[in-house]
Amino acid sequence: MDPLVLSRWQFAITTSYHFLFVPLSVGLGLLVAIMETLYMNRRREIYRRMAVYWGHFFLISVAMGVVTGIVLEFQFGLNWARFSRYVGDVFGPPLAIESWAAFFLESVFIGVWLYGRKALSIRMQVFSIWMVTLGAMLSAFWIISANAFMQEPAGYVLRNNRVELVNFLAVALNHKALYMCGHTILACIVTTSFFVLGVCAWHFLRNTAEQDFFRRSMKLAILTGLVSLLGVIVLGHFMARDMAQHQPMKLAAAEAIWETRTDGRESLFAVIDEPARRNKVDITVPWLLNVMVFDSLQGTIKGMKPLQEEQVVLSGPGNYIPPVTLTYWSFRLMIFSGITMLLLLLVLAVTVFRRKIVLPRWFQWALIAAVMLPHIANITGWIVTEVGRQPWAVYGLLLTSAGSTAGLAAATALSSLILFTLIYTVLAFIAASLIIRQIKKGP
Amino acid sequence: MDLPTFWFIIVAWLLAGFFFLEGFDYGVGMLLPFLSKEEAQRRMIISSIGGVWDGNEVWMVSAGAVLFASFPSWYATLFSSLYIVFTLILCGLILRGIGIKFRNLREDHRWRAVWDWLICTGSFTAAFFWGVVVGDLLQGLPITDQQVFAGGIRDIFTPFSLTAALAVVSLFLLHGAVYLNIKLSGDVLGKLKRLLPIIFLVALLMAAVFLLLGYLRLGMLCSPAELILAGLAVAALIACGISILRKADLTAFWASGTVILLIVSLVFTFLYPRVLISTLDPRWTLTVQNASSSPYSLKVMSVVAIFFIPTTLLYQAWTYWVLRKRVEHSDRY
Ligand code: HEM
Ligand code: HEM
Repeated sequence: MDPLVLSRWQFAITTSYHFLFVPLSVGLGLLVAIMETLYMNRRREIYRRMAVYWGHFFLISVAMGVVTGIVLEFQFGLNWARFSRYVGDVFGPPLAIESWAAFFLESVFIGVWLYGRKALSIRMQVFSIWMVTLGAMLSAFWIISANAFMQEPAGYVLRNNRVELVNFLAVALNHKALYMCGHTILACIVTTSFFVLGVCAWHFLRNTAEQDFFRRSMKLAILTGLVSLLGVIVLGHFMARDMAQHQPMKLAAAEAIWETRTDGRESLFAVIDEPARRNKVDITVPWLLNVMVFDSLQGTIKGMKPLQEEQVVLSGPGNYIPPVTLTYWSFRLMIFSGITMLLLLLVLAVTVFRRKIVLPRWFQWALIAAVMLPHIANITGWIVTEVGRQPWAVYGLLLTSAGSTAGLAAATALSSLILFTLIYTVLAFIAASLIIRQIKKGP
Repeated sequence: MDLPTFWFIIVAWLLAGFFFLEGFDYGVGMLLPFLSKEEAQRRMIISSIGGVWDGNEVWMVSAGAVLFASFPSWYATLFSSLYIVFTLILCGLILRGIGIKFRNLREDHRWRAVWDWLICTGSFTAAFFWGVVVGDLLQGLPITDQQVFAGGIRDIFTPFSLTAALAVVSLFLLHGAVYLNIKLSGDVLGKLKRLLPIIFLVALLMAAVFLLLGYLRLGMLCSPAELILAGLAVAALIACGISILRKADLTAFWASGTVILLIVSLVFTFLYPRVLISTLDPRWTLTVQNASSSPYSLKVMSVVAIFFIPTTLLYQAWTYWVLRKRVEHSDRY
């Protein structure tokens, strides 16, 4: 087996596990901080109980988030040594700053928050949990500004066979980073809101004693869910527009557009023949694509074939088309999940806030199933971002195949891949079982 | 002082802090199953690091990220050469980290027993293989002119690197034991106090063997600075032993911490200006100059570091102050 392929699988699997838990940490941190603040200000026992109950899930996801994160940081050196040498000058500073500005904040304060109950005043307690949440959000910000450099390089020059930093602010405040950061952090809050909704729905179905507790939790989750989901969708729209400008190949792949398209037809269902570079079946509707990308009915979206030819002129012979089927269907799944979640939330908001109406059972079950939707959107979203960028590791500058560790033996790469996958899978099951126990136990 | 040297010192400082702080965390983890079979007492042992180990581990995360940012070639070459070593460190860290967080979440005897052993072996694995990294840094690795590792498992696990590994493990055990000695209260201290002298003697022996082997094999301790640092380290270690005998618990803790800081300083003094020694050809050795990031990058980070490093230190110290009390039997988390 090719060590490059194994390294790519390892990165994909380990990051996916990281991002299975990180969104819950970010979102639950925020919810728990809100609940503790409410308790501090209103001194009602229910808010304290809410903070404790949802705090349990928070601790489980943070534990998983931290141990999966460390692997990622070391992995750049382990499997991607040539990448690390090439980009370290630009890519490293955001990571170093992340560790000071974010990880210390989160990890140090989570310790006092948890173990300092007796010693701290309630004010300091609330302050600590807000610092934890701030730390989690800042860590999303810095890692994404590093990732944005791989999507749309900025603030660098090519010197000494590597990229060197010349403008730090252009990297940290890369417009791409700001979009992605907003989209991702809000997606984390959506993920958490749907988790809370699912747990509440389960307790309503079971008719457990704590109706008031879960009704309040549900209201809070509807609010956070609706606001953040609308934000995710609006930013997603801006990102599509940005992609048309800066990463046209990714957009063309996400839309399965081979030849330049001017009629703005949006593909709904395509059977793609990648070797032949065409779609066997392509069901489209008019205008939608241009509305989504350009906010207007007019516009031109370049196809993959002309883009491929342009890239050959720029970068030499090679295939510059990413895996189209995967990118295309991932993009559709993310948007499908987003729209489904929006519909669910709207129905829910109308019913719950009009009081008396009781939710039908099938709808409760739908809410439980919907816990998976944001996770699907998260993973497919990252697939669009990362797979859609291929064959580049750093867009236009460094090929993924040129970034892997030289001289890495396939057997070594395979054993670490198996080891991490096994450990993570077992741990994810254990974490899931703890979460389910906690759900059943109730507050 | 030039910028790369300044960042070399920051890297050394972060690693020293990591070894000092996680040193006792790992030590506590390794000792956990051996100090008591009683759940209430084990819980106290975990609680002694429960509120601080997360923040301590970030010193390692931070050292890794800073290494990446300030010396990309050092980071890339070291990690890819020691692929197996770091993979095992990671596995140890995963099991130990999850163990500490998950063990208390179920009231089930078997569940806790399994996690306690995983915490113990995970801590041992991480400590041991970090020791191998230290040994390999000192002795060098077969690195080609392309910064590619051209050796095999025998170049990584040598008698010297294994000695270094055992020395690190035993120093961490000592550091963890004297830490528990200032954090615990009640019956659980009995067993600990009986073990302390033995742990101390092992640490003393291993530290001596490590220094001796370093002198014989690598020509360490040949400059005045190295000699002074090593001498001070040995003196601090002996001071630690005397404090244990005299029941000066707090002094013993600071003494064992000083030993760790001095040994890390010794390692980096020996290395400078090299950062990764090539055993194939001295011209291919990575140095502070040829492995570092561009001056602009280092300047940006210096500005950021001047703000963040002191603030981080301050609030982390504050949490130690908040959690300064000894753990009592009645504490529940
Ligand atoms: C390849 C990319 C990534 C790397 C190298 C990475 C690295 C890390 C590391 C080293 C930790 C452990 C920190 C500690 O010890 O406290 C961590 C935790 C964390 N990471 Fe990542 N990370 C990556 C991607 C992401 C992304 C995309 C996000 C969010 C949008 C994120 C958010 C977090 C959060 C919130 C934590 C704290 C743990 C938790 O709350 O669950 N990370 N990450
Ligand atoms: C419904 C409309 C949505 C649109 C139009 C949209 C658009 C996009 C686009 C264009 C990207 C790729 C960015 C790039 O590589 O340039 C992306 C990535 C992503 N999306 Fe969405 N998205 C939507 C919904 C969602 C939802 C509901 C979630 C999760 C709850 C989500 C989570 C993500 C994540 C995690 C990424 C990867 C990180 C990033 O690139 O920011 N998206 N989205």
